[in-house]
Amino acid sequence: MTWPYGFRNYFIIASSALLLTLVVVSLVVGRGNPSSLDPLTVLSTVLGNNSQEYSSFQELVVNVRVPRTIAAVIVGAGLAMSGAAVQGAYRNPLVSPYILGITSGAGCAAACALLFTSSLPAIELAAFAGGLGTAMITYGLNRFTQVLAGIAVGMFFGSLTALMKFLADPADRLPAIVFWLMGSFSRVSIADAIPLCTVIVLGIILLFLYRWQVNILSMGEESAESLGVKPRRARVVILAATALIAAGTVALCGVIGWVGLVIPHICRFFCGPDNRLLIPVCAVAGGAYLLAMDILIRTVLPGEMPIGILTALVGAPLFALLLRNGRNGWEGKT
Amino acid sequence: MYIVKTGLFNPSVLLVTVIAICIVSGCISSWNTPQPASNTGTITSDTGMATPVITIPRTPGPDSRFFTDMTGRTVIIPRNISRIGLLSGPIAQLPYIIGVSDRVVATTENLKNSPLLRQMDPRIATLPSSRVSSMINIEEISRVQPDLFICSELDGEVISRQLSVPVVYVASNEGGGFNDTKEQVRFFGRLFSREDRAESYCRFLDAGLQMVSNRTGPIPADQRKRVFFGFGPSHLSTFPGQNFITERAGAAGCVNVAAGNNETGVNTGKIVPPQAEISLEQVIAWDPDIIVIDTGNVSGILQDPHWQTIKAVRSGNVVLEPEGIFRWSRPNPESAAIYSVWLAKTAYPERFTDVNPEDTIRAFYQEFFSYILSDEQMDGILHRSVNGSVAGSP
Repeated sequence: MTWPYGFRNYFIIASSALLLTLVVVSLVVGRGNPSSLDPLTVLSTVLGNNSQEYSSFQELVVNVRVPRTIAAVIVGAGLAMSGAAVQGAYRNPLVSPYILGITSGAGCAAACALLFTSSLPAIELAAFAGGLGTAMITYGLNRFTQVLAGIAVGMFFGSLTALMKFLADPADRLPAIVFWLMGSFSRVSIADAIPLCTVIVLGIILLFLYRWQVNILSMGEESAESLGVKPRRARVVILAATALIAAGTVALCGVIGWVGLVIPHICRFFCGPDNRLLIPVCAVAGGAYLLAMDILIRTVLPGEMPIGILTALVGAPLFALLLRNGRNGWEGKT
Repeated sequence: MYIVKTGLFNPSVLLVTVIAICIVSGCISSWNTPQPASNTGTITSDTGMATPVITIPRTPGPDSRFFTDMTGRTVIIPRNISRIGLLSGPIAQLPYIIGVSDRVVATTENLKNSPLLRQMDPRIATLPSSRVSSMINIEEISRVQPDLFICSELDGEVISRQLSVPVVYVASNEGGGFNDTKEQVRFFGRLFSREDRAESYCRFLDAGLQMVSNRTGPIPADQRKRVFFGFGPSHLSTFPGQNFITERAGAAGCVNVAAGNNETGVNTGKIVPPQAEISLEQVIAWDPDIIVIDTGNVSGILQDPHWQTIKAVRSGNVVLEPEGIFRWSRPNPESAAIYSVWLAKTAYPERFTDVNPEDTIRAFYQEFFSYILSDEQMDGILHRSVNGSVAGSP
């Protein structure tokens, strides 16, 4: 038996090694490094050289870089995994974790909260609740054509968000709304990373446990039922996990597009369509991709560019390149 | 069919391990960090720990004191503030007004980009930007080690969750009226124990308003000049309803046509956006006596056939508002103190023959920025010739 995805193991090893390296790099690099320190000294400072001189720098690493790194890895992993799962479950290569209009709902709730309050927990809670609420509305609307229902609900909440922007003070509130919707890890702190990352990890665990059912769903409802899987129940679980991940993401760091669409396709290209392997691989690759983008923002690019811009700027051409190459990894090879 | 050998290297195990590492490290660091709401504190290092431990003093030490910020929070701040991190745009001029501008170590991009301020205070260009647009540059501002942050509530919450430097909140400047501005200046005065500077600003502002109202007060309501503020490149973006521009127009003895009294047709009882794009038809219906623009040039409107039916255009009463350190059409201490004097002189030159706004501007910069404007700079403020990007652009 020959394996069509010969690069599979290399890809898995490379992306895992990349992720671990990036985690270390992410803690060590950044504009906040005291100019007198080289990266190696930074590492030793972070790990326990308790000189008074660098106490504020240590604080920066612990309170800013650690939660930021964790958030980027978990969000990237969650988005890529749920992307792979819904693409498989709906047998549609175009859907993403935002399939149920969750982004628009969560974004709209966040924009609404930003109009009235400056309390960060309140805004995050609103975004999360808005995301989950929208997912339920979409699911309740029509259980069979969720992709279409998601587009309609998304459009509605998108327009509502535009109304919020119209009513916002252009000097103060409007930029806050716009930048929240563009996504960024710059405001992530331990206080919000812990609850929201827990929620996202919950979704990740659910998807991980259900990864083999995605395989069966991707064969079509009849085959699934003949194999003893209730397709509706499996889909509900996958959608619930996706909703947790997407709503948690928007609450934590705003809207980050393209990770859930591009990473599964890249992984499928290298590892084939078997979701039992694909979903965990997506987690590793997605985490590495998002963390790499965040490191780029923190070091090379000027200012704190919203990460949503960069993921799309890099992701869209990558996706186009993959399409041009033809083989997209959807064919089940034996 | 769907059997895939996962090989020796099992990604599932790896994923679980990586996530476990992340969660454990997150828990450890959160265990060592204070409640984020605490924005006060001194940092002490526990020798046994890899991460710094922050203890929060309940009472201020000899070098610090209690301070109540504009939102009513009580914060422990250093007695001697020597390194200020400024995040909010509207308050960026305040350290100059209060006379502590040399202590600012991080400021906003907008202030740094002001060509006039760069001439007055070249040091400003060398400071790191505390934020670009809405994104806080947390790494860069942490590097310059401010001992106090001054910012709006939303920014303040982000910063106090991430760093243990004290943060004082400035109430959101959405109002931007005279009293809001004076309140902010007095707040800065208290913060830096320079109440005298704050009071002299308030006196300056009040004196200007008093002088104008003495001369425009007798004008009967039906003879007051009706002004349309046509901002933005289209000259159709305006501030409808009751707001700081309406207040400034009123102080100058004029009426903002978009203020929303019965005569104008805009109903203020409904939700009105703070800044709205309106149609040319509405402007024609208002038929203002004066049009104030903040971008582009006057001849553009005067020559535009669509605007010709408007009284202000026919009589040539279209004016480009001055611009100093920042736009005068936004709330800031500079425009609050001078705008009404300038507008009153523009609207009623016959009542202000002995008043020259140039003198007011010059006095303001001399008193609060300790800077004597050159004739060229004055020309730049009044006619926008220094800020080349604005002047002459269509």
